[in-house]
Order: sequence, then structure tokens, then C-alpha cells
Amino acid sequence: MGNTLHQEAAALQQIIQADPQRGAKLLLAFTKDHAVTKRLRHEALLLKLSVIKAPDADAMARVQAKLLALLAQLLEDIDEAANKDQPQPTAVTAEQIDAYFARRQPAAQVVFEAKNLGRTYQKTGFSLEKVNLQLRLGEITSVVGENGNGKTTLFNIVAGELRHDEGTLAYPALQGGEAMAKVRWHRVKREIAYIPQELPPWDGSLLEMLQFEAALHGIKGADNTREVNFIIQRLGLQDHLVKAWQELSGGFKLRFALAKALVWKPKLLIIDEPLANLDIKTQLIVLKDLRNMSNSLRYPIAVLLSSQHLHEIESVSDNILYLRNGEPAYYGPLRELGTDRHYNTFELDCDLTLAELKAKLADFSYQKLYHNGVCYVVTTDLAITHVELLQHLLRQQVNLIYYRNISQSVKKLFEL
Amino acid sequence: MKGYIWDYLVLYSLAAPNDINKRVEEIQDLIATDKVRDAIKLLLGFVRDFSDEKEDVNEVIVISQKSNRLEKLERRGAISFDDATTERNKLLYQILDFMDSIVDNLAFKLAA
Repeated sequence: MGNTLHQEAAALQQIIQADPQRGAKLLLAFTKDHAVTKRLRHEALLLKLSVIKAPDADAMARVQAKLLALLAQLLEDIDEAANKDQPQPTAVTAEQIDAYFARRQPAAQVVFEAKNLGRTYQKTGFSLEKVNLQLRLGEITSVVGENGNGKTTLFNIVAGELRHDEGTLAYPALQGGEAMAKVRWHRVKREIAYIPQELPPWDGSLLEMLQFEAALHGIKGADNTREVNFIIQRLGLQDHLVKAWQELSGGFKLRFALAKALVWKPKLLIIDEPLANLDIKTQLIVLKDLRNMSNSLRYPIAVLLSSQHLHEIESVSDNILYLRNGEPAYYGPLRELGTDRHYNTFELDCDLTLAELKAKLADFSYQKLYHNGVCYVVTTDLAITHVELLQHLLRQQVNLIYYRNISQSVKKLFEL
Repeated sequence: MKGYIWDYLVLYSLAAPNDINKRVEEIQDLIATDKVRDAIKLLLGFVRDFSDEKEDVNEVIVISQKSNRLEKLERRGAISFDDATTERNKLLYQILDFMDSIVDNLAFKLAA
């Protein structure tokens, strides 16, 4: 074993003795780089957890002793291995995995495609118009816009619940990979799960409902048990299985609706305002679950959702469709939003009046400063970065409560 | 769940779905930082993606159920710290070995 490694190990030993928490973290990194067996890497990982969980000094001392013993064992193994020819472990690459799955899955990744899609309501005169939309497996597309701008109409059309009267639509990945002129609804609808904003109640326990839903989609016997248990564990619903609909909170009603939709592995999930009426923790859990499940390699899902919680959906969306007066005002990848902007926009909140804040910004180059009813909005030239504005505000000792760069945010589309 | 908002801020897996090594690392990091429930959720997706064996899915479901039971016992104070640590470590070793076996099986299959 090289001297450098010995010196590194000696330093690590001292760190473990002085600060076991830091030592555990460094030992984990050290084992990742140098451990000969997986077993030692696993032990280092669990010791790091034990350090976090140690309730008192005695427990911490025990963990510290184990960390030192592990380090000694590690060095011994490395010395021993240096005298032998070790077989190299086989690494699996992303390219190999892609090739493996490409053999098993249809090439078409586009689940839904619409060109100039439209629908007019004769009674009210409202029209949804000129919607171009493409939903791909593994991507989340969020539809935003003020109320009454056609979001639910669009969702009903995509779900096959409402006929369009303009443009064309197709479901390539649901129809054997071909963009057919005529949609075979009986085939397409088998792959679409639609969760409306108003969740319909059900009878019986939640467990029975999930088993029934899976059976309706042809999942029976041991497969039914496995798929239902999988989705229960995946969405963390195990404590509520015997409850009836009326006993659940709004958050769990939505999570069960999600479980009901996902238990049969649809290819397209349409979900209208999933975050409405949820507390912030539940919102994050739902978004996290949606993102992780849509990203599945074996069963990827195209997700179409709507929400008024702009910052939250930005954290998981790939694409944004912004509807204004029934027409798309923006459609494209989230990362491209605002790339063609002519100025930067920042939101901030503090305990100053507008006049006081203007005085603080007197020698700072900005374009506009106004209060939108919730917080202050500052616009600047493109050359001014969010760091520069923040630094100026801090230098001026502005007591900031909130600060956000919304130059490339969906929120900017609303022109508040 | 800890009840603090920052426990929820690791929003989702940042690894590409086909990056098996990064996905293993993410699950390991969640375990090392005491986010076992999140780790198991990702493990469920990991097994579904990389194993063709239905039994593997059943095994990860059982792991998840065991972890929930242990969490409940701990919450109720119905298990001592030492016993909980022993049980949790058994479970976590099982998870780590299980992930390794899935990676090894896939490597074997891809090499064939």
C-alpha cells in the first residue's frame, strides 16, 4: 500500500477521534474509493447513519470505536489485496442499459400529439384554439393560466372525454407507434388515467378499491396482490388501507386517487389541479412521487398536469403550456422560458414602504419598481444579475423577508 | 418523516433513469443521511426498472413493510434504541446487498 494512502488513513483516524460525525462522512468517502469488498462500504454507510442517530455520548463512543475498527480492517484488506490479483468488478453502463431496454420497448415515445387543436362552446362562446402539444413518455408537461382559459377543456379532449372541433390529434405510442389518422379510442383509453379536480368518492375500503381497479385492468391473482402492494408502499399509503373515503384528508384522497390511477401502469396520466387544497408538505410529496414515477425506465409515464402553484410545478416540469384567453401564449421546454427576454425581473419583500425602498435603490440601475399586491417587483437590464441586486440590498441593510429571481419563471408569464 | 420542511426538499431523483450506478449512490446517500423512507421509495422504482424477477419486487415490498413496522414501533417507544438499531441495520444491510445483487444480475445478463 502506498505511503500516501497510509498518511490519508492516519489523518482520517485523527479526525474520527476528534469529530466522529465528520470522520464518519470522510470514512464513507474513503471506503467508496478504496474498499476492496462491498461489505466494508456498506458498514461505513451504516456507521454514518449510526452517528446521526446516536442518542448520547456513550452511544457515540461505541460508534467511534466501530469507525476506528472499520478503518483498521480497511487498511488490512487493502494491504492484503495489494499482494493478490483482484478480479475487477463488472460495471454496467447507461449505454448498455439503453440498448437492453431498446430491444424490449416500442420506439415511439410520443404518447400524444395535437396540431392546431380547438374546441368552441356555442352557448358561452368560449373557444380553445391553436393548441400544439406533444406529450412524451418520462416527461411532465404543466398547463398554467388563469381560471377559465381552457385547461380543463384541453384535459378532457386529451383524455378522450370531449370531442375537439378543430385540428388533429394522435396517440402514437398508444397505437403501436403509428400516427394514425383515426384514433382507436377503445385501445387508447386503456392506457390513459385521468384524475379530475373533483375526486369521485368510492365505496368500501381503500385496499379493496385498489384491488378492484387493478382487476378491472386485467391484473389478477398474485399479480394483483403484488401491484397493489407495490403502489401502496411506493406512495406510502400503508397506514390508511382500511379507511373509507370520508375518513381521509384531502391529501390522502388525492394520493389514493393517484394510486388508483397508477396501479395498472398507464402510459399517460392527466391530473387536473393536483395541488389544490394540499398543505405544502403533501404538495412536495405528490410532486416528488409524480416525478419519480414518470421517470421510470421500464414503465415511463407522460404526465399532463395543471396547477396554480407555479414555483412548485416548476421544480418538476419539463415543459410548460401557458394558456391565455383560450390560446397558447407559451409552449416549450421550461429551461427555454424567458431566454428571449429583454429585461430581468426580481421579486422581493421587506419591511419598507415603496418610497423607502425606492430611496434604497436610488443609486442602483433599475427599470421599474412596484408592488403587485403581494410583494415588490423590480425589473432591471439584462446585464444586472440577481446577485448584484441582492448584494446592493444587503449593503443598504434592507431587511429582506423574501427574494426571488423570476426572470425565467412561469410566474413572469402572468405579468403580475 | 421528521416534520421539518427541509426533509421534503430533496424533491426527486436527480439521476438519469438509465444511470444505474448513480441511482444506487442516491439510495445509499439517502440511507446514510437517515432518509430511509425516501431511500425505500427509490428502491421500489429501482427494482421495478432493473429486475425482471417478480420475486424481487415482492422482496422489496416486504422490506418496505418491515421498515414501516419498525418505524411505528420506534414512534410508539415500543422498542429500545439498541434493538431498533440492530433491526434497522439488518434491514439496511438487506437493502444494500439486494441492490448489489440486482446490479450483478443485470451485469451478468448484459454480458451474456
